[in-house]
Amino acid sequence: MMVLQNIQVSRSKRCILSAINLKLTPGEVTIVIGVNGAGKSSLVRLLSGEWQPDAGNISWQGTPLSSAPPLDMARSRAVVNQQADLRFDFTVREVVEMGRFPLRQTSPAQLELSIDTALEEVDLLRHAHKKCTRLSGGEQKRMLLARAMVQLTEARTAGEGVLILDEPTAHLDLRHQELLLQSMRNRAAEGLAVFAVLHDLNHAARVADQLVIVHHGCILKSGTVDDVMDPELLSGIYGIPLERVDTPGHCPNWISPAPQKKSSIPNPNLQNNHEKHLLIPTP
Amino acid sequence: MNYTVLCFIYTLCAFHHTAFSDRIVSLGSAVTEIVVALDADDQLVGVDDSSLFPEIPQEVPTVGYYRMVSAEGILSVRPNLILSTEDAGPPEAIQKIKNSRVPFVQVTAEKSLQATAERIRTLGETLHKEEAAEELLVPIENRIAHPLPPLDPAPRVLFIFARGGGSPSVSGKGTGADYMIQLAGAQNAVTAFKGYRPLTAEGLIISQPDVILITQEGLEAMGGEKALWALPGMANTPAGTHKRCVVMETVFLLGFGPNVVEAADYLRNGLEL
Amino acid sequence: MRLHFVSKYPGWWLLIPLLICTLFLALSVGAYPLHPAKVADVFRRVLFQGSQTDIDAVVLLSIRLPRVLFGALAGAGLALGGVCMQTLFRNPLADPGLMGLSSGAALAAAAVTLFSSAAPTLLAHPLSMPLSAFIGGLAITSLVYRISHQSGKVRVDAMLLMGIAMNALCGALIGLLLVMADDAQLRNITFWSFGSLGRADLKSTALLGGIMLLPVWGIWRIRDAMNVLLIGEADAASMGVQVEKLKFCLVTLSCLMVGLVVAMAGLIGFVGLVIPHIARILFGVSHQSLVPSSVLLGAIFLPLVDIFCRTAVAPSELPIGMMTALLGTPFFIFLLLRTRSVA
Repeated sequence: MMVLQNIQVSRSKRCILSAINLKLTPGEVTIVIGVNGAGKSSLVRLLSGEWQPDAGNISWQGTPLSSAPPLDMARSRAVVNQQADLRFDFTVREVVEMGRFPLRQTSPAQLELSIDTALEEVDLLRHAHKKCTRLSGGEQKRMLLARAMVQLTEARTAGEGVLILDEPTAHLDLRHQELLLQSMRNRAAEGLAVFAVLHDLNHAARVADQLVIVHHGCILKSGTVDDVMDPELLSGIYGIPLERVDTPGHCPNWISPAPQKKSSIPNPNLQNNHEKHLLIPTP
Repeated sequence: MNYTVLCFIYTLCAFHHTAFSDRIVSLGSAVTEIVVALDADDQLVGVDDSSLFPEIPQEVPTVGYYRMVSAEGILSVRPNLILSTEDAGPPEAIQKIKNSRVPFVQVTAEKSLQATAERIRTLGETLHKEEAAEELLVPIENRIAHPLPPLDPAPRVLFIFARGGGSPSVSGKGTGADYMIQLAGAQNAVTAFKGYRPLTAEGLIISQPDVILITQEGLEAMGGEKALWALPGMANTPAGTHKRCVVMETVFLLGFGPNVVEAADYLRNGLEL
Repeated sequence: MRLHFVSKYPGWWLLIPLLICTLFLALSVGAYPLHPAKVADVFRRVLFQGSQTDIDAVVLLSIRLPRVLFGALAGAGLALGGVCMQTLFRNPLADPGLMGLSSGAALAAAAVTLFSSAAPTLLAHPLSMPLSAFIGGLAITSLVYRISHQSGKVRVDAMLLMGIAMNALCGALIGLLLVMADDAQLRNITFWSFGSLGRADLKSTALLGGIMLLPVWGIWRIRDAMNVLLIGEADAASMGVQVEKLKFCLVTLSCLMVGLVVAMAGLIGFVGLVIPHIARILFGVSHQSLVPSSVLLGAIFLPLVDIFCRTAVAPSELPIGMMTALLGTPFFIFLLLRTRSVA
């Protein structure tokens, strides 16, 4: 369990985060949503250890994060950043294998298995020998997730750890977005606490056990999806009208009514006065 | 029978440690100049880069700059005698050459009459040309014993050292040029520092030289006499006003070889006019 | 740790017999005629009859052998220094000279040459030149490192800019010294800066070999962390790498190796840039293979270049620093084109 208490972070005399109180519970997926610049990525940096809070404390299993040895923390916590800065021609497999760096009790055979499973889960097994610099943005994202999964091999076996993801569905096509969301749920099922920043409300609604809205550096609301996702609240935050549409046999959808435009050419995309949208059946 | 005796005698001579050396490597132009003056240049099998004398046959290879020689290169020409100045280098290569047990004679590199005499004497002994060496020593020892009085009035001489492309320098105290100026009976226009400093207009005016001393090669590198007199500040000096300069070949002026007295006299003559 | 070889190319261990052949070739070739049979004969005589004093043995054992071994060690050290710098700056074009090491050494060497007459007892000692060059190189590099050190972290981009600034400053100061130099000093400084393996003797070779063991072993131990660092500092930190410590190790170990080589042999550039590049193309990017392959390739490259320097204008010599640049570039281009066409 990772606990943040009364966190305050300022940078260049600007208050980025204040009064942050958050618990990441093992087995649960915590999703953070909010507008650009609300402080979501700063929260990721805080959890990943890159930033230190100016006030308050972060603790993992009761120990303050700042006093935990880096290698021990790396065994329990993995971070998937927004972008990879790849400048050398490692193969995909070599990058994923780098996740073994903090592992101590994994045999070579177990490691191979972990790498293969991770690559398969992100659908990169057939690209394993490709140079990582030749991958598309989305493929690189998936590769980083696979590496994080390898890094958490021992944590997953022990059933305790944290996986932190910063906008993991960005740049992914629909199919791989689904794979990724499924992967997040799988990790939670293994006992890890999963924390992710998402922009897509529908993804957030589908996958979150705990949903947190960050606005102007504070936690505006946190709780279950039903508690937090209030149409008026969300419309106010995002500045556009939002509605929730429930279709039987499909996941609930958050959509925005079409803008009223006087046009003589009928818009074939309009259907029942809303933009067309894809429905995703409930899993 | 005679032939066998001759071979026997020759073999005995070959084992004598002061045997006749016909494969000589010479490092340093001061040394090579003396070797040539002692008429031993036909025994040279290797010289350094700075020893470029017309008497040396074309086929004699160079072994590099005398401060950066290659030990293996020198040994590859199979010398049986190596002559060099004391400042040849690098020290590691010199040590390796000494380890090879090839006879190695070093002479002082100092720039003075006495040092020149010492070099001629040492090399004369080593090459078994004592008589020729004595001949060369006569004018030098004469001049040591009977130095000429300074010129009256002693002209102020400025030595300008020019390299191609770079900015020229002037010589202060303690250099070979300074010694030659004093030997010729004049005084160095610059006494404020030792060694070489860059030439500046102010420095030129402060030193107020009566005569400029410059090497042939340096003058050519500067662009001839016109360029010399056109130097900034030159017009405000007696040398520049009267356009007085003495030009000598670098090796002649600064070689400190067997003709060092001749060089001093040449300079003295040039200054007396 | 498993060793895994890049499947397309033969393993780096094939370089070991190649190195042995190169060393033997280098021992058999030179201005002084010593054919392989004679070389073997000298070694046999030394093994069975103790030390020999004939000229063949002297040339082989006290001139050529130290030079060849020194060349191999220097090549290995320069190549490994290049690997460290490229990992530190996460840029395959980085070179040990970026941190000001070479220009600092050159400045110190020029200063010693110029002022040796002023303090003859201190500065005319044969050790003064290499020692000053070593200290000069390390001093400039430490300055670059310290200034880029902000709030406990070293900013690599700041270090790059500081290195460039220091190189410029040292160049200007060297220019100043050259203006004050007389002809002999000028030639001395120039020749020193061209680099030469001719100053090697058994003692200095043994010294270099002994001291180099530490950085080589150290870098081999941190090779996994070096791999991870290449993905990015933030990512590496989240994987448990102590990034600041690692950067300090890379700077220190590479400066120790390269500083020593530059101090003893003058400026031999380009090896730290080209050899790791070639090693990456042939044997893969992972430090698991990059570290040993760079060390071996460097150890093969420099003695080969030195053979050319020793024989092309015999009995004179070509400066090795110039030759490494002249030879390294076209070979690298050839290799790059060949790999591109294969891929």
